[in-house]
Amino acid sequence: MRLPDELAPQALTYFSQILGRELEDVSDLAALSSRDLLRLADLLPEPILPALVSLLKGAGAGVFDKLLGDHEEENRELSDRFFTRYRELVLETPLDGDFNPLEAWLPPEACQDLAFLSSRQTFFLRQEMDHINEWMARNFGLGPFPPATQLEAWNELWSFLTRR
Amino acid sequence: MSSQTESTTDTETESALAPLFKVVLMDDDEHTYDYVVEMLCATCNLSRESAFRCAVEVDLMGRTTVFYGTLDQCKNRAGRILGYGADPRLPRSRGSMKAEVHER
Repeated sequence: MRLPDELAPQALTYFSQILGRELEDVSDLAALSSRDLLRLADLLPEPILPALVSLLKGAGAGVFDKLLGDHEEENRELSDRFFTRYRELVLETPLDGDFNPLEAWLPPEACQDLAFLSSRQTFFLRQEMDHINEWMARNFGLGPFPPATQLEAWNELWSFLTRR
Repeated sequence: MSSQTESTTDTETESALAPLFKVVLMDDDEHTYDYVVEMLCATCNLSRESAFRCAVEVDLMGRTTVFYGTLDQCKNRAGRILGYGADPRLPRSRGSMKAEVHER
């Protein structure tokens, strides 16, 4: 995610208030010490963290090291907390065993676009046979395929779609 | 002189043992954080936490080093990254991320 340019001044004003120090532009933000940058991140509510990261994109060498605490022991706790909070915010929650990635991310109607479908081959081949069989049967009436036959299932799907 | 020789020898031994190559992952707009983390765990055996830090670095800095090793090891890892395929979460994603093998 990249923060729209027109929102950058508002974000900087907000960060200035949080930090109690004037941040006129992104270079001021990037010039903060590691500790101050991490302290700012620590004071921000989670939903605002992507805006901070977005502003730091392309802000120059060293900003990532600052988020790592410049490898100083005294900054480690703040750095670890930043990465934990940001990770929990931006990554999907772990998916349970019933989740079928094919059902979620390979809609059958999109498979009519063979260029799109071919770009999903490696994704398809990584899936468990149970999920492949469920998805193939429900959407195309194909299968079931025996264990460890991802490639055969893919070839069957491809043949089915190209001869229609 | 003696200690200098020992020091040189130690350095040479370290150089001989140290991985001389690295795999550098390049940023793009076609892959999510989730993809980067999943892909790096699968292709480079990174922990989820390390993979996430690499994802943040590639997003911020445009590149990140994800593996160190011999030339063959690095070519193997880069090949796995290049063969991992598109990000299924993004319809516009049509291929793998780019990775390059560099000398350290």
